[in-house]
Amino acid sequence: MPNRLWMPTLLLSLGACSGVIGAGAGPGSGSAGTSGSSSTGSAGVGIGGVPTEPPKQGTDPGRVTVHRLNRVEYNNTVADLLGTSLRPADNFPVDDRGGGFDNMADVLTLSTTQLSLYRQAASDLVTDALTNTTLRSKLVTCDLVKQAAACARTTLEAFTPRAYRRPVASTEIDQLMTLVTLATSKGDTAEAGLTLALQAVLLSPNFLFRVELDPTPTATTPHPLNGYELASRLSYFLWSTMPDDQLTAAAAAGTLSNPATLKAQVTRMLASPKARALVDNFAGQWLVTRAVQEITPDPATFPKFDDKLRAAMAAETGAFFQDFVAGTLTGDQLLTADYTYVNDRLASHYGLPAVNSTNLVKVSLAGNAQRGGILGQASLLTVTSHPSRTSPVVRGKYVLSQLLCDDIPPPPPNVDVGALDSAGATGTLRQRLEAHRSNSSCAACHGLMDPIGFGLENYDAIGAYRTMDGTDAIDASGTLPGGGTFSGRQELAQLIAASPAYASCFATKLYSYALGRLPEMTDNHLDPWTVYQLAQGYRQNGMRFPDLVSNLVSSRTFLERRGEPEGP
Amino acid sequence: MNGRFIRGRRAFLGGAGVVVALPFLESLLPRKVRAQSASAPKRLLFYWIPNGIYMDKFRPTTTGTGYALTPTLAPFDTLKNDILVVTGLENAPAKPDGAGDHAAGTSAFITCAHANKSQTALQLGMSADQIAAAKIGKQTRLPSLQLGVDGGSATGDCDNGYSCAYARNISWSSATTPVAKLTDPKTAFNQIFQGFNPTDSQADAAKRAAYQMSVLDSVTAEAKSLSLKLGHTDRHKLDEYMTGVAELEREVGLGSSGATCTVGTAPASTTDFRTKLSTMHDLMVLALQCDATRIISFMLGNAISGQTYPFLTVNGAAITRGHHDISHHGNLQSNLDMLAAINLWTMQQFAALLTKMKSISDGPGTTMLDNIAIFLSSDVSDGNRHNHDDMPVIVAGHGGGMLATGQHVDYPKTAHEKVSNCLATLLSTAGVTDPIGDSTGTLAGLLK
Repeated sequence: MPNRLWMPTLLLSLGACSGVIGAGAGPGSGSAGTSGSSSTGSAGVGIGGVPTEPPKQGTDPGRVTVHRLNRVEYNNTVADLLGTSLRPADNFPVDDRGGGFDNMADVLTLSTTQLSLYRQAASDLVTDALTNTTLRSKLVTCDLVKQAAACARTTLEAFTPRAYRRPVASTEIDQLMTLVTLATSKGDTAEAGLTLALQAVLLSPNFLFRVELDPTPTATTPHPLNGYELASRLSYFLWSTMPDDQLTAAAAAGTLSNPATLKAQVTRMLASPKARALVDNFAGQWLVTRAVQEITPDPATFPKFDDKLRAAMAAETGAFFQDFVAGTLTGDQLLTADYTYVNDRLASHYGLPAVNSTNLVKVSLAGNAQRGGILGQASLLTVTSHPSRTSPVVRGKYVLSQLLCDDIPPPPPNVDVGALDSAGATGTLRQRLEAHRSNSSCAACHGLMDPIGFGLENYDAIGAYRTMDGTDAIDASGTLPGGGTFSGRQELAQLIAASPAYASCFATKLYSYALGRLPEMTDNHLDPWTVYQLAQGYRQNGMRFPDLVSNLVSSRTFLERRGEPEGP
Repeated sequence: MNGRFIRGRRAFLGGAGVVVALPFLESLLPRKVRAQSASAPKRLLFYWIPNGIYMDKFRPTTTGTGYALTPTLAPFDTLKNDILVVTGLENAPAKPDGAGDHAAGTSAFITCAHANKSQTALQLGMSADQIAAAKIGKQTRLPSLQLGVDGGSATGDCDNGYSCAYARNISWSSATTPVAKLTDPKTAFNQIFQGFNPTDSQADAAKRAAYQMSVLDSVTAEAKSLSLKLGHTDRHKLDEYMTGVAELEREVGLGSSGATCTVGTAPASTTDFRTKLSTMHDLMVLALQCDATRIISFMLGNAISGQTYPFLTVNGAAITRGHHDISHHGNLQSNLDMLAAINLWTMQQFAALLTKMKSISDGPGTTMLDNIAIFLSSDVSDGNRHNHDDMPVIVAGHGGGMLATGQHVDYPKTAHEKVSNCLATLLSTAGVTDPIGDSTGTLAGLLK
């Protein structure tokens, strides 16, 4: 298994980190990346590449490439569509990521192997749906034996629009019915024919891809999405699955893009259990906590680490982030909250009183200096550590890249990292790291990362609190570039929470995830201005997630698209 | 070409898993295939290992046939005449723009093309296996097969601004389309043997094929209709779809004539690294033996593999640090020792695969190893330096008797001889003469 997330960024090169961090980058910088070629025309940038004045408001809402359902979306969609408990995508190849997310349309390519797996899945799903009595009763509501082709048609007329997430023309049903006719002409039943037709629906590009059409494919004039396309954007953003009946009804009524309707739908959708998808898919990738499932702490160093602790770590962060999604926790409180969720296993790991439950229980951390906020959660602290020890470097890099959108380049090749871990090395980990920063080629970048990571040294490589590292007393003082000095996690968290870069970075990450594409940082594009406005609004209005989502889905880039000139 | 395959030669081996079933498979092979040893199928395997090699323990000190096996090459003791050790080759297109040697090196592994550095705008080149598959792959049900042991982490950056697609795929069917590998043994097994029902009557099989073809016709019609309404970027995605459908149609068209043997139950899914690797090796041999495909690419992990090797011990301690971390060895002896141990273990597994191929008859007097050309290398040479010259390469198998095995061939670094030319040489043994990436020809020194 890949043991941890990061390269051993032990030594970094001079030059790449020599100036103010984030210099020259726009709000789309950092690991969210940019796909545009020129930077925005903004005059100045602060930490994390946050523009100090609003970027020019461009006119281009952009376009999202036709989007193949990724593994999570496929499993969720077939579950909603058929009621199946099969999860065919679990054995599909892992989706490639771009910008840290696996829902980037441009990167969701389709190989023959993948298509072959789709075909097998379609076959398995249809068999499951027609042989399971409960599932069948929802799918086939007429008498397929007596009414034969008529019943097959009725079934397809109800099923296909849901599968294609849009109304379906009668000619499309005619096309599917040829499969029913073929079967009956060969002496098979209508049931056999319907089986083929349903397989064809589940193998259709109209099902496998989220399609958005332009009235004129080569015209770059912006136009609003139709209601069904918008319903899919909302649904796959907030739920990672197909639209439900209410969304589809609003789309059919043509009211979905009304600001009040949109806001009401967002409120409804975020309150739904399906919004858990944001925790698993957005937060799991943004905070990298999905990796909790992949970590392998060194069993000799951490004999107490087991799958129960692993599960509790993941569950804590999940439950905590769920509060943020629901709007009861704000963005700054993600870092500074005075409560968390623990079960007995995790309470023991944290040195908290037992809660007498194997399920998570909300507990107050008022007056507790050791925990509170994601930087004190074992999931995050573990995925940013090496198997047997902490890495202030990795943790510092994590804060910069994930929370502040400031990417640090890797060390140049062929550096001598021997000094840090060699048997003859002396001093605390902090002293050893500081010693290698005496090398100027290392200092530029490590001077930014390491002092952040030191602030989390009170937590070992599986997130247990400590005041000593072996025989060395922990010194958790440090510096946040452009943000001042601090001592320990609490002060570090407060500095990050107050940083404009934190709000901007979050808005950028969510924006990329919502659209399934990276912001285009070009002058005539609406992205730079939109992301700036979203970040400003988020920061100035209490960092409430539901508000940010409402504003995001009301933005022109979410509601509109354009065609593209004929290419090469 | 399938006239030589006849119905009724299929045998069913119930119950046994793949691993157990393998030794029995030979008897299941159709007699006609064995009788045609003169035209035994030419096969290709591209085998990728992560994080480079500790070259000091890999590189033989002398060249030619009389070279002595080095510590890392020791597992090839009984296979010395079945392999070529090649050093000094360079894969210049693998050099990244700035950081990202692992992703750029992995994507260039058998494309010998320079990856466009981007999170989303994929642009590379066609890989050697896909070039071969386009030429000779239609002889089998699967033009090619992509296998691996690790699907890749579900989070995190893959390599310094390079999309994960570059870090996880060595096979590319076009400059923009990676061919994802299968890493679950059961899924891979089903992929190799799908659509094959040994209890079908001929009439049933024909009807089933007609039905499958009609489903594919139906979705093709939908795709064509949809494509007309799309801009060029979206059309490209639909092109990928239609290419796939056409390929599935070809497979259905081959019908049961494409399969030459079958085995019992699929292997169990496993997450254990060693079990999975060994099962994947078995599946490779099985797929080739059954002529389900003749072209395979395999990835022993992904770029920047952090695989741990707790089952290996060095100086009394288990290797619990990740491979990539260790590969940045900083010339520290403890790191180098661990690297040497990982390299040795890897070669032991690869040697076991070759030994298995050597044990499988391909007809009178020949084995599977005689009729395959295998390319093993990595994304970088030295894991610490990230260099793309002096690549560690093992060419294995006899390429139908064309490869000059049994030697160590060294190209002086100053000659900048290309990895792509080595790949072109391997493809030539299968009758494929198309260029690969920056190739300019074949390497006479590797041929008899």
